[in-house]
Amino acid sequence: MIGPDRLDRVSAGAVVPEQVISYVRSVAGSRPRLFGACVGYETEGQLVLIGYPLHDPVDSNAMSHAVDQALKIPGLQKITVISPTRPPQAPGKIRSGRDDYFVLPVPAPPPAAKLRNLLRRADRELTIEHGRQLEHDHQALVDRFLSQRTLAAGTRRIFRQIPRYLQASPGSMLVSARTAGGRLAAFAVGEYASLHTALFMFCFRDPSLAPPGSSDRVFSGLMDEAARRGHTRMNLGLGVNAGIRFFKRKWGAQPFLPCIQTEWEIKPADPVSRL
Amino acid sequence: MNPPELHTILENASIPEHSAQFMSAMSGGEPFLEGPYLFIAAEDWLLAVGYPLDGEYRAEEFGAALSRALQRTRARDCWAISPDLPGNLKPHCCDRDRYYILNADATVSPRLDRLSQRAAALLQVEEGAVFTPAHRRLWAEFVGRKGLPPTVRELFARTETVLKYAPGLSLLNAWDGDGNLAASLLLDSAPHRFCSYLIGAHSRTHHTPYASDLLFREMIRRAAESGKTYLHLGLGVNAGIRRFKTKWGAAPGPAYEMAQWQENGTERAGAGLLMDMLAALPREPVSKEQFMASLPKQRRFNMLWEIEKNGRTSWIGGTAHFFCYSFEFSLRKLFEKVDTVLFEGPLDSTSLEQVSETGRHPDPESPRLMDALTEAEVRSLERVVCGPRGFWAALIGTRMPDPPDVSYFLSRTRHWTAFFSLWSEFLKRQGWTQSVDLEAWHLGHDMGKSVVAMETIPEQIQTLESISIERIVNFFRQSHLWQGYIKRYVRAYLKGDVDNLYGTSAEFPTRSEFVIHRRDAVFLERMGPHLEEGRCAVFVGSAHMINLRRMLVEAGFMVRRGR
Repeated sequence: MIGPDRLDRVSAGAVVPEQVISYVRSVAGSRPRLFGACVGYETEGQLVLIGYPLHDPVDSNAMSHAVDQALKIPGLQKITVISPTRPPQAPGKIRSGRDDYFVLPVPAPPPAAKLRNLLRRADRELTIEHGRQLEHDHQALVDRFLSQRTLAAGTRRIFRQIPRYLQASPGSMLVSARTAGGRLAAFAVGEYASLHTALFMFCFRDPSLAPPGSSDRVFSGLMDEAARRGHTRMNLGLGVNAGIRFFKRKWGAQPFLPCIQTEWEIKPADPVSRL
Repeated sequence: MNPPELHTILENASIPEHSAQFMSAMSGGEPFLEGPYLFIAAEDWLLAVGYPLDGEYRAEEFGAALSRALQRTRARDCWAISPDLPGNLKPHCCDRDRYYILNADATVSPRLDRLSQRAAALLQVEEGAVFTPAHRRLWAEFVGRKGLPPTVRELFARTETVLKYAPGLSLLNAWDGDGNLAASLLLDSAPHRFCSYLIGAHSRTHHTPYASDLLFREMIRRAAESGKTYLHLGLGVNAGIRRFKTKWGAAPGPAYEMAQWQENGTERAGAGLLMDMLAALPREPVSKEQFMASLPKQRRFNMLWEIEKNGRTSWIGGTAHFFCYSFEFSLRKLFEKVDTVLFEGPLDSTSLEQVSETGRHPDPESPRLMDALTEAEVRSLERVVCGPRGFWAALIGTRMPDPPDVSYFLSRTRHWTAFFSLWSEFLKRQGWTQSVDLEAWHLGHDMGKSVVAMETIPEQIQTLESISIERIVNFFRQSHLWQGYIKRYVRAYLKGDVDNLYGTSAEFPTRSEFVIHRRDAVFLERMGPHLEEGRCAVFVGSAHMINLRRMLVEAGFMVRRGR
């Protein structure tokens, strides 16, 4: 097949959201490129390398080889590596951040009684819709979320770009829950570009409208969609904080891949050492 | 490309790449013809299919068609395939191979027939165009265990998407007795004379011996039954794949050479920002021309001042809520230097809707503009806001398609809503479809800046309520002067000439003591801590810049023209 390499094979083999090319391109605007078995995203002297090799996300040799390749980029000033183990090339004094991606098999294990009750209650009060278009009320919910929280600039930027991402990624899906009056109580976004791993991307709810179990109900909509499409697991994203971890564990999700983020500046080789 | 053209291409197709809709779905580009050659292009790339749809292949003729296609698309990244590349492309040749062709009436060897029969006893063969959950699992399993070339992996990755957009594609499936998918082939039957075998996969999880052989035999039989002359099995690729193809009786067909190169278009030089933006766009089926045409006209943002104190630099800009040009490129450059962007008030959709909602519901006893204007003045205002009406205006296309209901605004809304609504409708009719503060607000969010509103919505509504009804009435009575007013305003705004921005039209309704001067002090107080920190951009209505520059100097900041 001739033509521009859209790296759809990377998205098709994605185990983490950062490997979905249309997602990262939409929210970050950076250029994807392969370094060995890993994808990286370049923006003016900076590179973010997703160190989960496509053939095996925990192959640390392949990850290290990809970092070696990336470090050869002329003019590279800063590299950020997200990987299951710390890249051996990272300078010793640099500290890494650590979290874990959580995963659920598809179909999910039967929910516990409390979760079952929550879902039943949400089902009684809410109507579920599937789509790919972010409407005005979805956007208002995102705006409200952003106005009420102190978030890092990068996170704010990602949330702002959700409409663009939904438009760009044919594998994305929006599950919305509306009250009997048609008002939006909650919505979640899933990504299904990968052949095996569905990805839970975002979830928002309106605390003034959403009955208990709304977030669980839209998430279960994403799980149903994953089963309908034939995915074998759902990556629920990072643990982030105790509240988010609680939500994921309530569903039976377990830590699946470590996410170690290591970032360091590249010093230009001094002329003497080059000689 | 219209249906008759597509039909002609498929009628004369001789290689799989002639299947225009399939190629378009795979690449995201648009097909077009230059002479007898098919091209596909989008954004800044071009694919050239150098196998003529009519007549014999001549390298010079293909070279000439390619030159025309390059001129037409101004593509940078290019690929070409042909039996024998034109001389100038030879240095860019990166692959040589042959297509493998199998006659539809070829006899299947007795051994293959016997093996296929064995599989046929266990499997049910069916053809469809739905990528089922079983296909997803089979594709995932097959791609996960096989070391496939990147181009073949791309076909597996895009199967689900292309099936929706290329009508000739189908999946030939072999299901076992338990409903598991043992093997599947992706075929393209759109070309009239042949059927293309694109990819195939077989399962080890739900393994049935010789399932792929059964599907191959079935593919040949179905091609012959549907009147195809031959099957295209694609390129030889490597010894293993060639062996598989020749095992079924396929023979080497047309030669294949592929070139990949980059054109050095002169228009790219110096177009850094624009090209960065193009590169940052998701790959959607939009051409570069369409993208260029969709951009609003850009101007340099000169209504900008640099502020410095203790070695820390920030910027302050005067905005116009309605304007006829975009300043996105300038603002983008400015925002690369800042962490925080400040605005008078929040401009998100919920906040704007809140303001609009308040404006549409006045207190029952509040005065209405309609009561202060004569009927003649209302008609005159209507003419200025809505433009020419009637038969001739419709005929020559100058009639506003969806004019505002002037009487409604004057009699049913708050005075400030009537003013802003009718003024903005007039401006929109003059092509003023941009908004400097809204553009900066969205860009700030898009670029991940911390965006801060200096006033709350209730404070802003209080300001709007303070606008004098008499000033609005006077402004409406002088609607015949609006054209001259906006011309002067554009000239001064683009120069950054704040002192002459309002000319003699000092009666602009919002230029009052309460709206401007009292709030200048509030803004200075609220922007102060951010300016002290530096790396901040502040946006206020341009009228505020008349006093704020002086007030900033008095507060110990050095203020100079933005660079």
